[in-house]
Amino acid sequence: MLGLKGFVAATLGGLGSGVGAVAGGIALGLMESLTAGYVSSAYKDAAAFVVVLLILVVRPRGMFGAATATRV
Amino acid sequence: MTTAEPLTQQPSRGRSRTAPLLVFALALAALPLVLPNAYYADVAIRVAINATVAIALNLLIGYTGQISLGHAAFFGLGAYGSAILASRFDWPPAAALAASAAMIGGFAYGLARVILRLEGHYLAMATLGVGVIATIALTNETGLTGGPDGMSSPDFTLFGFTVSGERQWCWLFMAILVAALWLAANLVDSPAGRALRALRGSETAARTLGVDAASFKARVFTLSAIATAAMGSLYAHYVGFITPSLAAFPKSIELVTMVVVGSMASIWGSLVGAALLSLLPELLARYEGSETIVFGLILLATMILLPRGIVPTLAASIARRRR
Repeated sequence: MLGLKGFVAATLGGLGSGVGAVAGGIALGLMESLTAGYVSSAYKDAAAFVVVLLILVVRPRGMFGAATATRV
Repeated sequence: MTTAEPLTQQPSRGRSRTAPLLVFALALAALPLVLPNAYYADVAIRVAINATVAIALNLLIGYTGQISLGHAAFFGLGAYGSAILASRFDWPPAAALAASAAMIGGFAYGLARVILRLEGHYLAMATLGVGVIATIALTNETGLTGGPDGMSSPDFTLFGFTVSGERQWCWLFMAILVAALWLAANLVDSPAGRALRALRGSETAARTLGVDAASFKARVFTLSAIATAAMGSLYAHYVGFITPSLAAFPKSIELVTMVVVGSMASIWGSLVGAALLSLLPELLARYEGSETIVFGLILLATMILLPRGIVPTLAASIARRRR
């Protein structure tokens, strides 16, 4: 689960972005603790994945991922 | 480039499709009569279930080029959906299976519309997330699912006939496997199948040729999810007892491994991959304690020596020898 969380944090921030990874990690930790405190500690781990799904829906390349042009 | 090769093979493949399938179907029909005891029938059933799910997953990963690291979630949700409806709400098992497959299909379609816009690692992450969320929900909703202790699932009855005993189940699952092979082979050679393969080759190129990428991706994802969920339901009725580990991440990885080891974009490859991954742990049971290491080494060697997967590499070497 710990390795997965790292992957989640990096994706959340945007792969390839150092600042994004840090921000993603902090956001993830905060969300987890808030969920454990206010919602249910059983769903603490699910919070991480719900957040990453929501962020990816809004920003498909993560919070700090740059929009890239694809060469065809 | 990747699409060019399968498209040129089309005619020969179309002609020789029915005959091998028919032979295979006859062999499978005889299988339950030949297997010496219930243990072997059980192993055969597990191979058939895994192969059918691997074929469904291969349509998504191998042919369309969209990764899913959360497919076990559909299997687990199908199993639990059917078990909950049948045991807690007293639905007939067949209706429970159909209802849970339909619900999961609807869910998968909505999900696919949203997350299949993602690419590469982001798509992997999103599907993985869905799988993990499903596992956590199944583990924690103890009122419905019984939590980590699991729950029991009633026998499968259809039109008053109860499927019982390994032999009957074996015939049922073999029939489903043959149907899945036939349907998948037909789908792949149809215009829709060519659209899917075009999407894998290059989504941009496919779209310029008029392929509705979002729609095709969502539909193949839904098809794959429904097939997986239905197999999960049948599995639940077959074993009679299920736990949340059915939906867990390692199971998803196992399914993807079957597809990759057998060969991406090969229906028979999925069958071989599923058979290999289901049979190896049984064969390696004698190496107590080190079976995981041996298992890993065999998989590693397979991927190094047969990088395109087992079936295409062997087929190519046979074709070379004939010439």
